[in-house]
Amino acid sequence: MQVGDIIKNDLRVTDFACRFGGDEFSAIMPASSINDSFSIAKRIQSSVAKLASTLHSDIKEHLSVSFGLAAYEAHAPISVADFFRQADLELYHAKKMGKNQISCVRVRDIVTTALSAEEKAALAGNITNNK
Amino acid sequence: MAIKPLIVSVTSGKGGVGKTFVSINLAATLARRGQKVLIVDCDLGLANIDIMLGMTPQYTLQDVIFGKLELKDVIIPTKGGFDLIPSSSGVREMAQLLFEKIELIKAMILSFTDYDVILLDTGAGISEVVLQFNLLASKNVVVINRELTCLTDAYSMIKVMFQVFGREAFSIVVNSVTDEKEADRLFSHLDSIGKKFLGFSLQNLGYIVTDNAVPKSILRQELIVLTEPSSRVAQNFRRISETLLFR
Repeated sequence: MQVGDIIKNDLRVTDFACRFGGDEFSAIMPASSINDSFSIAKRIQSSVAKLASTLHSDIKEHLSVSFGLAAYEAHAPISVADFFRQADLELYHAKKMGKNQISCVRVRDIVTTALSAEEKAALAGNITNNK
Repeated sequence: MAIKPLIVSVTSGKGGVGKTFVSINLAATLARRGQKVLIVDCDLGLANIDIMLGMTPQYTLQDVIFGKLELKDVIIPTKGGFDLIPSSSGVREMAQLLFEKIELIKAMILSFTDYDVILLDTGAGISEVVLQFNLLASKNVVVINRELTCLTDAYSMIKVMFQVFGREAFSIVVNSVTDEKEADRLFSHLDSIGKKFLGFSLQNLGYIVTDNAVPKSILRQELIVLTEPSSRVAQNFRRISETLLFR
């Protein structure tokens, strides 16, 4: 409940968050870079740490928050399911690395498919024809 | 130079293009010009600058990230006249560094103000780690050769740096070419595609000719610019260093 409030407070008005089942939350941040989402994740993390510091020591050590970040590129033809799977994989990775971690999607797969057919054709074009 | 230190990343997208070869020989060339140079082996997990220089460092970047050392504690002088921060090979955790650790390394790199030039030799690919090191550098040197896969990956790197971080300035080094004419042709090819699809020009930093002495020097763990200073390759590096510093 309190963590939910923190998430709501620390996100921007343009962001959208919802509970994703169990102790997982999901946030969509339109028109943002991975760096933007990273700083927001850091902000939420420090708010949660502040909340933890007010709690009894038995509970305190169990309260941490991990993040998996993924970026959806407008040019990248991946499905919504694949996009969420990427974020989920990153979250899994973050949790594996310990408490309070932020993990970020590797952009390689997204980007290699992000080259348009025109760009690929231009790259493969006869190099000698280009002045 | 206006800003000190000048932080330059050497990157390529594709692996095996000669990033590390360019980094260490450029560093040695700059050092011979009187510049105080530091190379950071940013190919976390598959580092090989120490191998190319025939060194076996006692401590690496790994000791900074997972141990108690500071970045300045792992700096070692090399035979090339420049300093090196070596990284570790075959350590999986290093390749999967989380953002936070990268931020820590970046902050430490920025604290080295007594160097004139800091070269960041990045790994292959366009993982977040590579992108972050490119972002830290004020100049991104993209090494390419005549292979289509290499040109495509270099272009992808440029495009993602532009799309994700808004970078519009990239310097190109064309490696393993027959002559200047071929280098100019390859540069113009990539430059015209950049102009057409991304809307900005690239900087032509120079080229390096193919020379049988290059693989030999790598095998002997030597720096060709020092062992054969009058070779065309060494001349090429001098020109690249000139352009890098003054243009």
